[in-house]
Amino acid sequence: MYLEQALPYFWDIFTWYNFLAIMVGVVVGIVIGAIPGLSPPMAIALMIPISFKFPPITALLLMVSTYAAGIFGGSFSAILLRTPGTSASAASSIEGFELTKRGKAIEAIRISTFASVMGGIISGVVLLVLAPPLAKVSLWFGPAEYFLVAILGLTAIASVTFGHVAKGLIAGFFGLILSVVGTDEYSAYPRFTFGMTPLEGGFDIMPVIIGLFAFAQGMELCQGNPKSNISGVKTLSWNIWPKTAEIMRCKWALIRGWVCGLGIGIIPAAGGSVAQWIAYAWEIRNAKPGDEFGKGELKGLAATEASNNGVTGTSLIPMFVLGIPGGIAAAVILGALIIHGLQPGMRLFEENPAVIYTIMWGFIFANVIMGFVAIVLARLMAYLTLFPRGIIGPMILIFSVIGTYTATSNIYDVWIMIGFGIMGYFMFKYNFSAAGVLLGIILGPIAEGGLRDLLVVSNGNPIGFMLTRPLSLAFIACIAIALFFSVKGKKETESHPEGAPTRVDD
Amino acid sequence: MQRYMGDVIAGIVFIGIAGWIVWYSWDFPAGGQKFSNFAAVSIILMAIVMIAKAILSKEPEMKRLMNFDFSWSSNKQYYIALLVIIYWSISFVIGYFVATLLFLVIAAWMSGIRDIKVIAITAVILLPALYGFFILILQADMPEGMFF
Repeated sequence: MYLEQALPYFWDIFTWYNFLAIMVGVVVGIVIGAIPGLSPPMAIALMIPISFKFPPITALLLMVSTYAAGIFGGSFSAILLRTPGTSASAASSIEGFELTKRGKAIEAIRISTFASVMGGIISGVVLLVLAPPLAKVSLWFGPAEYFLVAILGLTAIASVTFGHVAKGLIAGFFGLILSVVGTDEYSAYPRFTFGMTPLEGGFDIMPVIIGLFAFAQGMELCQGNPKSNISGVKTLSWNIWPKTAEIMRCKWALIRGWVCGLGIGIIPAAGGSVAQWIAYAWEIRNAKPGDEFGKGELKGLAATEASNNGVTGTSLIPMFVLGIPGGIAAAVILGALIIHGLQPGMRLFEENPAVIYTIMWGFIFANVIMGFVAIVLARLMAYLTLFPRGIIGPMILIFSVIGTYTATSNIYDVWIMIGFGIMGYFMFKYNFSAAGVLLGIILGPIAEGGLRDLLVVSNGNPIGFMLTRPLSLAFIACIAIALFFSVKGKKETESHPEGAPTRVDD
Repeated sequence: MQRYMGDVIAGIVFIGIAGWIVWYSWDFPAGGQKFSNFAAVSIILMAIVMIAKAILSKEPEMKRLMNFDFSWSSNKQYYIALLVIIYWSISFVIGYFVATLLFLVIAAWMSGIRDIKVIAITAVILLPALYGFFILILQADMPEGMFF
């Protein structure tokens, strides 16, 4: 029904100014997304003053294109340098950078581009066809469901420990403790701030990611032979077009990643940061003998990249239909929508179908364009892996500092980033999972908020309350399945060590 | 010291930190301590598992002698991390771009690059690129000092 209404507006995206807006949005999104610290919401916010002079459709096309491409751009630096540009691409740095170290940077970019472009297109089609009914699903989420989604995400910690389960879980729980630092939203009591004002707002996610991944990676590159390069090869392949064999090998990983992204996308406040870990953990649980998770497994990268771009379209559904932004990027787009005199909601579909459907078509088209732009930009960025370590290491440290400062405009966040960076380096060196800490910090507020709200709404009987809600029961089943496969996978690894999937440090 | 002692010491330190967290957060109002206490108790349990695993392990890797290497080549990354701290501190005194230039030259030299031409080319490309992108395009308000 919605598709029939949308079809007449397809050609509107091909007016020269709309097309140009999509192109500019895609290029800006990829470039800004690739720089650690500069997130898609920041790129969209930068576009708002520029877009004042444009008609609403053109302005919003510019923004949704920037958003879609920004998430994808973050993966470039994650794969090539282990410095994720956005929080949604942190998981991609694990398998992606291992592939780069093995001289397979272009292979990694190839599958990443395919997974992201197709993920974005599928997500865009779901946005176009199913937005109103799916928006109702997002209203079913209450404290119980938020708590259970966070728990489902936390089960991923056990999967990303790569043979060091105790150390990985310690890291994850440490991340949960770090997530409570700051003023308690329920009592306004400062927790673990030690009287320091900058800590009252808690740890901003961007300095944490830049520190744990980018800064620690900069330190790592400064060690060792300064004249060697990251990829260990002297030339790069030009063949960035996806190969059928690679796609077929990763087909189930891609499908699982897309499903994960589409599903998590409609949950307000979850987004790509959560979806990528759930998809990655799902893939590790499905590891087959010969898979090399943690050492550069293409299927792991395919899953994370499919999920983080699978989120992009569906995360806009609650914003367009209900006026509830699902994340920071959606909130900025919502602001732009209102600035241009448009009110989100079902009335937008009825009174301004040209605006809403052209934006949705534009979002899908932006993902197609993204693939072609990526072919050019990926090639240029892949050259970074040929730089000597002694040059690229200090450059990453410089970008970590300037990226953090530009993102937050806060001097103290740079100190926090450096602190997390040194901690991340030691964690990396002694096999404590930095990903576990990050997962804990991302999921901690969702889990704690959900749990405390749940205790209130359930009158102290959270389990009884959850058992009366079908969606909660579905999540409980998902958690049980995830835990079952984690244990099953571990037992199989122990009983068939020769044929078991290879993990780091096995 | 044997390597497994490293895990034992790390485990004891984690138990100490987690114990302190439980003690420190005991009086948080409105149940604000529950979540951190749950995580801290979980850390204690995991640290006990880690210690037990280290002591009972028969893997040769775990029994290997810990190798303390204080040579420059093994520790230069720590000195470069220290240099980042100095770099960010003096950015407010001498200005961000002068500090960045100094950091790039010294850090590349410390990491082992001895080719002045490579360092100079990197600086000549990087600094205008940083200025153009962050100051002119993004209009970031970078620290200014006595120079630039």
